[in-house]
Amino acid sequence: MIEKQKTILIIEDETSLRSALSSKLKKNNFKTYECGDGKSGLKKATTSHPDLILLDVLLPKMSGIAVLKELRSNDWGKTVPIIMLTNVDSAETFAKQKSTDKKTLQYLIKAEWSLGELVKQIELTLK
Amino acid sequence: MKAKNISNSGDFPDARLGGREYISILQSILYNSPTGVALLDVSFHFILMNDSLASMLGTLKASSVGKTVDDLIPWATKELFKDMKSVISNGKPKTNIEISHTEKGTIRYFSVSLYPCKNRASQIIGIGFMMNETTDLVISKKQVESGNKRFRILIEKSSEIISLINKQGEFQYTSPSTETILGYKPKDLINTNSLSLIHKEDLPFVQKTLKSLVSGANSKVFITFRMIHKNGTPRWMEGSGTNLLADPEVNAIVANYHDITDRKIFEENLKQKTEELIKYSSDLAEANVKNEAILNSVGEGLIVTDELGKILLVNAAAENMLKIENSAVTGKPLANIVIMFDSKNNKIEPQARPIIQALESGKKIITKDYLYQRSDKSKFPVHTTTTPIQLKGKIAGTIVVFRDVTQEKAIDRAKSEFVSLASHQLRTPLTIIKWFTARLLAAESSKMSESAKLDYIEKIYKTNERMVELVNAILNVSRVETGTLSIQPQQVNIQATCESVLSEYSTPIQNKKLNIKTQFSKKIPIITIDPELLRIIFLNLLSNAIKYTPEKGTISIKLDSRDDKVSVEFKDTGVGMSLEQQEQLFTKFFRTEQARQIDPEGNGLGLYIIKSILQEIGGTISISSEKNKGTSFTVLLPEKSINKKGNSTLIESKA
Repeated sequence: MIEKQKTILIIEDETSLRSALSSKLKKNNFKTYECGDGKSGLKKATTSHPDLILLDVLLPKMSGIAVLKELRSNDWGKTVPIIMLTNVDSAETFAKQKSTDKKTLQYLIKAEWSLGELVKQIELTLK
Repeated sequence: MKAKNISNSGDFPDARLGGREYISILQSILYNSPTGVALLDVSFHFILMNDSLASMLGTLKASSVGKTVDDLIPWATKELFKDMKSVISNGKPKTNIEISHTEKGTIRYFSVSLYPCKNRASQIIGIGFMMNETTDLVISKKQVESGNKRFRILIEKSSEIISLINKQGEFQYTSPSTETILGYKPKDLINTNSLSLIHKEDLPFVQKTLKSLVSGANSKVFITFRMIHKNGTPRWMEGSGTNLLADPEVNAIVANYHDITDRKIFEENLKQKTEELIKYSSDLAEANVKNEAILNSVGEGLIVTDELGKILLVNAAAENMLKIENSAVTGKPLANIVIMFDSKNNKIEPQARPIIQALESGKKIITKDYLYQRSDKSKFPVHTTTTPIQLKGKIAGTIVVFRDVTQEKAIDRAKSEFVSLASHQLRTPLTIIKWFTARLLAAESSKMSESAKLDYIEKIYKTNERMVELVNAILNVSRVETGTLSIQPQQVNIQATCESVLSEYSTPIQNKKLNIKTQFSKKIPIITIDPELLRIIFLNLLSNAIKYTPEKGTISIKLDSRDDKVSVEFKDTGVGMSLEQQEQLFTKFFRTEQARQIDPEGNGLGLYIIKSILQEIGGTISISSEKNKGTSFTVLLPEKSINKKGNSTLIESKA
């Protein structure tokens, strides 16, 4: 049985990280979209409806938090799993949302995760 | 006995009228006289009386005959009877016998005279009784007597001396009180000169006063002067002198005066006390001024309240912070004047206020991150310390000291923001290095091409460079802040430094197709400055200009000499900023919104570092910017940089 290929939207301004993530995910049979700023990332999400979004917090043009709020106020975006992927040490900012939005929202520190572990986490989230 | 028995004694000129006629004339005179007249027999029976007497005795003339003196004059005294008996026995008249009686509460006085009535044989056959009412006379006489007595007592016993002196000032009379007041017996003073008793210092004007009285220039004067007591002590006198020389009864200057020494001493004491009080209060006022000056120069807000929490004093800092005026709020409850909110913006009820807690517990109450509301309803965060004032074991009030922590809160925010940013900026390169080295390590199994491997290694290298830069910036901030920045001035060619920095940034300049214009004056001297610090200044200014100027923009760099300084101008055609942003620009960690969008990784430390370095070496930086038009920074460098803190950095802001 061939599973439908899942699509992942990567919103990340750091080119190196974005490309590394993308190539790793492709190798693991995901389809990826890449965006370098919050504004284009939000647009891509609402037009292509990915299965999961990897969302950086510090982004040009529109911050990851603003993108998250926009998505959650949108019908489609309410339930899409989002992994906030950042190096900003302000987990408490998301504590509230995390408590009510556990399944669909995660907050991960990039530097603490290897690419392999990240892929596993994404697969787990999409099961 | 018959009236006709009272006949003439024989020699009366009109005796020819006949006895009978004579008697009737006498009778008519007697009957009509206002003097009460009666005839008594020797046993004191009334034989006859006239109307006046009847009316005086309150009886009827007709019914009086045959009545005794006892009957009609029950208040007759024993003396009267005695006198009547003596008149009968020795035939001599008794006149002006005083008798009185009280009738309905008012006393009436009478004067009685008794004359013996003799027959032709000179035998006493009766008494002629004559009575006049003397009530008015007696009373006025008594009044005069008692008045005299009172007057005498007044003169003799009073503390007022009354002296009569002649034109020369000699005593003609002086009242007995002279002895009690001045120690001299009046008789010893008579005919001595009163001026000899006057205090030396007061003599001239007393003499002058006497002269003016004698000459008639003044008829009455009031003076205060000193006299010498017999025991040698000076006594203060106050009194008046009246010229009665023209009055024949007096023919003297009447001086009446009294001792006011005690009063003078009291007044002197009072004056001294008053002067002390005035001095004390002026000292106090001076101390107050000093205290007030101290209070007003305290940067912290300070409010003093009484034991009820009512405002007694507000210093200048508190006035400014709360936008209130001391004079307008004094006496009002602090809780009403300054509304307080907790850190979650909930209003704190008056009874829960620190001031009430301090008053009730007697303990110092400290709050942090509460909000005070200004008179214009705006709020600001404060740290407050409310200390009860203990006075003799009682709480007499409180002192509230507070500090506006808006700035500190902003710095705190900026700090935590910096921690977030730093964590991001440190972790991001680490993540890149982690992920790429992991892929390189797995290169054999993933059949990675050599060029891909090189690409990864280059990425790791560049990422490492970025980290070095960041760590340096953080270290520089730390050095500046802890004062451990080492400054080693050398002779530096500023143009060469500028060109070197430009060449360092040639790649990003080319990438953004930026147009660089340089204008270097030939008059620029060699300056003495730490070359590494100068490089940091130039690097930060240039990298900012490159970052915030859009592609194909222009960056102009101008070097010039200005007086004994060198000016360096970096002008771009970048995003620019508002005046408000310019004011905060040199604050540590501050970043404008535009800057955040353009470069999320900036650390907000560059301009702060420049400002701090210039502060150390005695230079200045100023900014001129317009939003969406561009920004220009001008740095003024001293030809010889100082090596210690002193010259403060001026930040000028131009629209």
